[in-house]
Amino acid sequence: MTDLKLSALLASTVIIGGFLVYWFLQIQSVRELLALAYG
Amino acid sequence: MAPPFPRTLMVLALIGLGYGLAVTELYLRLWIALLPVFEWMETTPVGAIGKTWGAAFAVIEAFHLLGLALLGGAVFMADGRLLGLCFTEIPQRWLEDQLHRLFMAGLWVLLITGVFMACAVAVKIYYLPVYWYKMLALATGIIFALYIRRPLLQQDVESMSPWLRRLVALSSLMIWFTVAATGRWIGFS
Amino acid sequence: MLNQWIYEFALWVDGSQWSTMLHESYYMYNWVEATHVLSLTFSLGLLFLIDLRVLGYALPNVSAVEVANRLHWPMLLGFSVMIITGLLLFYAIPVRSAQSIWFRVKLLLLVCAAINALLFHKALRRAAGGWSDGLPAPRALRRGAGYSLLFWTLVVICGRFIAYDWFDCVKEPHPLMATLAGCVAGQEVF
Repeated sequence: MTDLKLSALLASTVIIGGFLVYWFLQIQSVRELLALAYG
Repeated sequence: MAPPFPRTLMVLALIGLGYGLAVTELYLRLWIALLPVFEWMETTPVGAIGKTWGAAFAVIEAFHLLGLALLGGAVFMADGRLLGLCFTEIPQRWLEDQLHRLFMAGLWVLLITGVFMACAVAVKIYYLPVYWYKMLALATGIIFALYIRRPLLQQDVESMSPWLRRLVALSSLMIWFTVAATGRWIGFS
Repeated sequence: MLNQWIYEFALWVDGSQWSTMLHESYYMYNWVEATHVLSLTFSLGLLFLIDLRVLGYALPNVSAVEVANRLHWPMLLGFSVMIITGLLLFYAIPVRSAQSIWFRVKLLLLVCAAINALLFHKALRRAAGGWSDGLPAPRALRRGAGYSLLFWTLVVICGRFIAYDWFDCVKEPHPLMATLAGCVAGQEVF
């Protein structure tokens, strides 16, 4: 596998992984806040 | 003599750097060191104009959105082509080159209007975590687009594994969505 | 007068329970607004691609007719999202929106953009011929694309200005502004 393809694979995985983690955490905190606000 | 796999090593180094800064909490030291910069930004003529005339700030912000539209159009079409969803009869590399020009035009508009706006509200955004998430996403997006995605697509895309193509297209869409969404979030803070 | 009728209509919408719920919601209003703004990256983005192609600034060797035809439906889908979210935003804060000079100008510009788009669409159908692959587009089409860019730029600017309260009725603006914005003498709800 070439350098370009390997770096692309690595970068893509990290970005997608980071995206999922980040937005999962954001949605969690939104749900907690909504629970606090509306009970 | 250059090391083997230079790009991969660079990506690994960046990931390591990010991870290291995070777990050692050195990023906080960096953040503290940046406060004088942000305080200075508000004193610049650009910052003064944005603070004094809300209308000027609003017009610049509108152009920020228009730049985002241009970048968005280019990204959607480029990644759509990569996923094989549109314009499949047009050679990938040629379309990439064309859309890259539009992407860069949009990016420049975003960066210039963004700096203008940041100067006007510098200290406020300095204390907003979501601003820093946006800057992180933006840096990631720019490095990914220019250093990884574009060089990769200069090569023979047709022989590339469809899964790699999908991964690249998906990460491109996800990162720019995150930049846009965190940007809007700043507006709500 | 027209302004009175608009005010009463807005007041009637304001009385709706869902309107109040949306306005006072913790997140829903923000999400609707964020969707409204972010979906312009899609709809306006595709529109820019079409307009810039017709003007000759983008995708030079792709048939302009092909670009317009293929991006047409996704773009309209994006605009539908913007219209729906836009209506919801009005629905949440009807009185202030209806009496916002920027909102009124924005609606006018949207009508202009829609008419321009219809005329452009018709002209595109009629002009389908050899020009599409390489030659500059017919002047009428280039004018249409130019107007499209102009109208939508102004729409985005006016949309952004709605949030600012420089000419809000509650601030008793200059009489001419008050008339254009539709302020009603002695109104109690803003």
